[in-house]
Amino acid sequence: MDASRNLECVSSKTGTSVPVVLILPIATLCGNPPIRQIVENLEVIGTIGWATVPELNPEPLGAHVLFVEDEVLIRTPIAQTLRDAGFAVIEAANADEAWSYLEAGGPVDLVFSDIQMPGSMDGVEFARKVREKYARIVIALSSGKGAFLPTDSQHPFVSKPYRAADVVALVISLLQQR
Amino acid sequence: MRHPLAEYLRECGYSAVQVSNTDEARKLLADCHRPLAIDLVLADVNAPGGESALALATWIRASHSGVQVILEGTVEDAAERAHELCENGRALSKPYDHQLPLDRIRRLRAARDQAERDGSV
Repeated sequence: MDASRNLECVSSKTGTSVPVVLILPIATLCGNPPIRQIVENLEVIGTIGWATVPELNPEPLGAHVLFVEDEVLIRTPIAQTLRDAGFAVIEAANADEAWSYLEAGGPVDLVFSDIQMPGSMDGVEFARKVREKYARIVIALSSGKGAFLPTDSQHPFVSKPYRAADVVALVISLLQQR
Repeated sequence: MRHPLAEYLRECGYSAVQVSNTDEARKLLADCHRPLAIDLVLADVNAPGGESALALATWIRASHSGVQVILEGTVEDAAERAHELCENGRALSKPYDHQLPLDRIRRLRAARDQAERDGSV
């Protein structure tokens, strides 16, 4: 249904004393000049609260997250939660696998990586290589074993144990800031 | 290689869990704290890990009687099997383009051939 047409019908009914309650997503109001014009011509008698509308920033969803974690019992449920939240998740059990995926041209918007993993490089070294060659990829790191994180590390860091919901929130906020 | 396969199965409506080796598979299946309802295990006979895929399959059949196990010899076979699963399987909530899986299988094969030529398998 065309919201702007409905609003025109309402505003042309001069003389009516029936109050109209209009509920619009903020994005519709702010981004849509015709609706804004019509709403400005109406008498606004009040606003009823504001709700956080997740879909205001839809771009992060559908993004590709490369999730690097060697412990499968952690990796599997977190990856699933990220998928349920709308992300395309590529799982790697170590940095070598993750690097191969990147080198093969797999699309990645964000890397979320553990630090201590088996293989030829740890998460810190992997992050360094990604920064060097794939500069547009956002990187966040995590660890739970008192791993040494360089003091000049510019990456967001999450310590384990972490909750799946917190990982989703972090990924969304990092991609929104991009 | 397993990532495109897993993505392909997810796109046609399956919930796909992917693991790197037989050890991870065993860990997930044996986890009593957070049991996963796995209906089917699709495994490469040459999968890496502490035990062979065959040994894993034997263990699954013995201890998880509700779980179907399919062993494939090559990634092409696995792709074909995934294609069958999608053709015969899920009730999808959105229209499903059957051309997509064929394209995906072709690309998988091409990537595999390229990897073999590069010697980076």
